[in-house]
Amino acid sequence: MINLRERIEHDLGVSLEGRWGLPVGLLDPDGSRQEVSGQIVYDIVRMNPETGEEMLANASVVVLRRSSLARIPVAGEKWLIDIPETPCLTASKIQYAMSPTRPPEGGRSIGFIRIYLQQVEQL
Amino acid sequence: MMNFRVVNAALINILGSATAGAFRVIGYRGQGHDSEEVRNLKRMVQVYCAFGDFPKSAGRQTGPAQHVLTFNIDFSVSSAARVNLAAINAPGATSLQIATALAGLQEASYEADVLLDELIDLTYQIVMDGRNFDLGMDKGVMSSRWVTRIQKDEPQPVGDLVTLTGRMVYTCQTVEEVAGDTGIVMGLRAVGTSIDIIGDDVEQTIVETRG
Repeated sequence: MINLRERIEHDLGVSLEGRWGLPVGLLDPDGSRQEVSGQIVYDIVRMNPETGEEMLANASVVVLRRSSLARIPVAGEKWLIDIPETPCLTASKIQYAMSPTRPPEGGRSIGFIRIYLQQVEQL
Repeated sequence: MMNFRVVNAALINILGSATAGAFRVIGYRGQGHDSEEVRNLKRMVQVYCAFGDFPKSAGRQTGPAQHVLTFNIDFSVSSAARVNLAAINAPGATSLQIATALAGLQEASYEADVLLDELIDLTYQIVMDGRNFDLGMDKGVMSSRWVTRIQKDEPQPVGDLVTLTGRMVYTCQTVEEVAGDTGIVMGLRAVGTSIDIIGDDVEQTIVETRG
């Protein structure tokens, strides 16, 4: 019998990478690519500080299962992450950079990593 | 019209006509903007009169008064990160080539900072240009123009872009005249109607009354 944390980690294979998972490409600072499956949130609800109104901001966030990653992104590293432009398996991919202003969240005990993305343009 | 409005319009006009596509100018303090709206060369300059001081003079209780004007010139820029995507996505690129290109990634906050510095530079050069000493107005309307402060705020990640705002404070002096009550100007009113006049078969007689 496995313990609760193992159970949770095992369930990530379904909740993050199961039928609802979307393809995520990772390019690490060493130039190695990896394709995994994960959950993507394309917009977040924010509060407009001037008016107090809620608004929807384009801010993509990727949640991945740590145990599926060959290398875990660390704050301060330069990673490129490509995700489908829309939440559709056949959508064309768009590249983002891992946000340097908001470090990745998650941890070993919880089994996932949440990565905040920043738009990237040709230099 | 008070002269501060004339100076305000002239300042907007001078900045707006000298942008050369490098930024946008609006002549009022706008509400919140989408970060996408001020991205890269869509960076925005908002010009508005923030406040004015009227130094009181014992000898000038009536008549023209000196008006020391303070204009805020607000800057808004946003940017994405930049990296050599062509090298990274080139077919056949080696890991070493990709890693080298990736190492050159410029953070969005750095890019926004560069855009803002450039915007401050452009604006300063325009408003402090000797040819714009009078903002293109007749001599005597304004004087003592000066940029008293340049300020940059904290970069803010907004969505998947980074926005950066700043401000330039522009001061000058003018004179305000009191023209008196403008009163109400009665416009001419014309009332057109037709009346039934015996003998006017086609009823085309028009009677106009003016008041």
